[in-house]
Amino acid sequence: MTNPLDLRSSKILITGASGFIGGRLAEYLTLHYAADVRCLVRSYGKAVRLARLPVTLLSGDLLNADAVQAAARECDIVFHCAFGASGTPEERRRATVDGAQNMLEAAAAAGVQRFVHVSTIAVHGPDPGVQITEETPLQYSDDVYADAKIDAEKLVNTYEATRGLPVTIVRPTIVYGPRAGGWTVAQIQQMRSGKHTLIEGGSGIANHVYVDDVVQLLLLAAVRPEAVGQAFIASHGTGVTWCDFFQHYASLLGVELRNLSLETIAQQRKRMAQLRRPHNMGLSFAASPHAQSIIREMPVLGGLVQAAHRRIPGNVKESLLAHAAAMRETKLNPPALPRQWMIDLFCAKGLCQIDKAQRLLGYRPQFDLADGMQRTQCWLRDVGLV
Amino acid sequence: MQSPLLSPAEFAADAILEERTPVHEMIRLGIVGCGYVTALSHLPASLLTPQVAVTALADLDLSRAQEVAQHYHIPVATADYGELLGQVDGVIVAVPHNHHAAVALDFLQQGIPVLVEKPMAMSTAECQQMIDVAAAKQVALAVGQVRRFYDSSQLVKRLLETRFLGDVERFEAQEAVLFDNFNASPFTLQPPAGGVLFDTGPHVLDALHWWLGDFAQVAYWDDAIAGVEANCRLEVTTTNGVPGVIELSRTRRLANESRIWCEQGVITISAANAYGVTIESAHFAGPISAAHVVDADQARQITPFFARQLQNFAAAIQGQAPLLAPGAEGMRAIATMQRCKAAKQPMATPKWAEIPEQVIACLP
Repeated sequence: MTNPLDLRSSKILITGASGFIGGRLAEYLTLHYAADVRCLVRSYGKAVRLARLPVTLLSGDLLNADAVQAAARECDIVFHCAFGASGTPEERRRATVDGAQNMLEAAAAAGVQRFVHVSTIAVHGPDPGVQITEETPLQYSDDVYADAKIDAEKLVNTYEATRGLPVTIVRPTIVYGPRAGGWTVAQIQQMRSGKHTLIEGGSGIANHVYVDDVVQLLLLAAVRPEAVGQAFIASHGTGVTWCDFFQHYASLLGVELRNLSLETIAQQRKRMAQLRRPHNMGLSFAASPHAQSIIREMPVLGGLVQAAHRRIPGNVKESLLAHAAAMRETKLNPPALPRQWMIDLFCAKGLCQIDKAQRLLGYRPQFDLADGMQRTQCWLRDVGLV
Repeated sequence: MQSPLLSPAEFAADAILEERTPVHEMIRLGIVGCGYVTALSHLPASLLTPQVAVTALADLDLSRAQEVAQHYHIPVATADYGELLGQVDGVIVAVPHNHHAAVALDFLQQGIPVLVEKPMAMSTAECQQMIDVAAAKQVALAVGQVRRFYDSSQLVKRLLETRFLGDVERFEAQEAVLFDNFNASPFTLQPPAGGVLFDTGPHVLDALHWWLGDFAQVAYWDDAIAGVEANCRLEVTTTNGVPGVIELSRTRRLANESRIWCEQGVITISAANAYGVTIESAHFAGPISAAHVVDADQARQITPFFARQLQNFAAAIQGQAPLLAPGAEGMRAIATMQRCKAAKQPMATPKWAEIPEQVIACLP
């Protein structure tokens, strides 16, 4: 067994350091370890907190192989946190998969001693069972993010097998905390705008993890010899319900959590499907004041419509008009239905296990939901989001 | 001599269009640096300024210069600003902050008037050198403190000069430009020119100096650890003994306004309204505006004020008006920022940003 790597004397590259997890990792590496850190940055606009630190900012895109090669040169450890977070599905996929390929190639060429790849629990699919471990099969789910991360993991394993690159994969669960986009800021914004909703009372299991606990596992994964060739789930390891999780934000904002039952979702989907049928689309259009004024002014069609109007029995006419009005209302104000992956995620009852990380790496998550949320709320207040 | 405080009517766009300057009398203007402020502010403003015609652009990134030149039908685009010498009657310098002085001096030494973007330079020594050369060559040196041309800013100046609400007792200024919203230029995040103090600071500090005078005392905190600060705080006292607090940020949502407490009321100046201010006093309460503003979107439109700035520069070149923000005025904010950096203290780390002891115990 080789000795652990020393972060203090290592040259370290972080991709995605202007983001949430990568940014916090950079703070730990520079402030605690005084490590020699370089960060590959695509958008300087997002790097204001990073720019405060003793790091070297390198401008470059993951899809630019030359920039990636230059960034990895002479590095001992690479933390690959970047992924395709924006753009079209194809652009996101390319940034995640091709970007990982470029980074792996550069790391292999540079002879790095550890490549820590930040993946996601979503690679196991939205509802993989009651006990989720690193051995739970990877499962494509037609979600761009999750599917691209599976392909990126496959590349990571290929580079280990064919090029001998010492790799470790870390799969974070629901990561929240200061500067978290998806599971903090976006939730706050949705609650503020009245668009946030629980599904089935929020009774599913939220596999939460505070960002500093993810960073702890990333750092362990980077130095422990036992981590090479392994994947680890980064989670707190205790289950809380989604209702418990979101209630922290709701209390902070002073709002009531809304709920959608699966039955209501099914009904609203049915109605949306009805609207898409040609005759209902026509009725919906015909029910609009604009269409009616146009039809009235058309000499032939207007006359025909008025003649038809006179011949239709009153009760049938009323029923048709009510149906058309309902279709039009659905078209104008479509219900905000959650996407399927959200429904699956919010209803899933699986608990992510962290035994492997605890056993092999000594991982010890430090923030239960109350502690993590308390820090998160401090940040939300500090930056004026609440 | 014409007052440098120009009324909105003097710059109404229709009045400008009715009185087009003959082409042969136009000032030929060059612009060095084709970044955001040039493309989004100076060039649109030039279209509202009949006295000038932008005839040449320079940028180290030639393709960028060509792209902007094509968009605005400007005949010359070059990567070498030296080519502008002899071709222009005045120049706007809008390059990264730490190059302001060197580029401006190259033109001033050739007797070409300069409007240099804020901050005027990186030090008072550089500022003084620019002022001295401009004086020796007898050419205009203007600083792009465009907020001096805002109706709101000029209104505050008059309210304070006339002691409309009595003597000033204290003030606060908060301003945040959240960088997540746009793709910032790399130099704004790297030493020596980066950081919120040298970026947002010149606007806020220049306005405060213009309204309230220089600062006798300055205490300064920021959150830079080795790079450039995203947040800073100043506690100051003016030479008249008025205390004030200034907060600038790139990460926190702040009020984006200045508030001045006077003996008989408070003046609030919003960064999002260039046209008016709000007064709260026992005798009068409500918004007052120098121009009719239709909505919040219009209140944010600052191109007309860049046009005023450009017209003031043109008038100064022609000897028709004094500059509203000459080099000596631009240097005041630089002097304060220089004092800040010299007196820098670390900002307290918020609890959420600390590296917790219990995690450290678990780290490798």
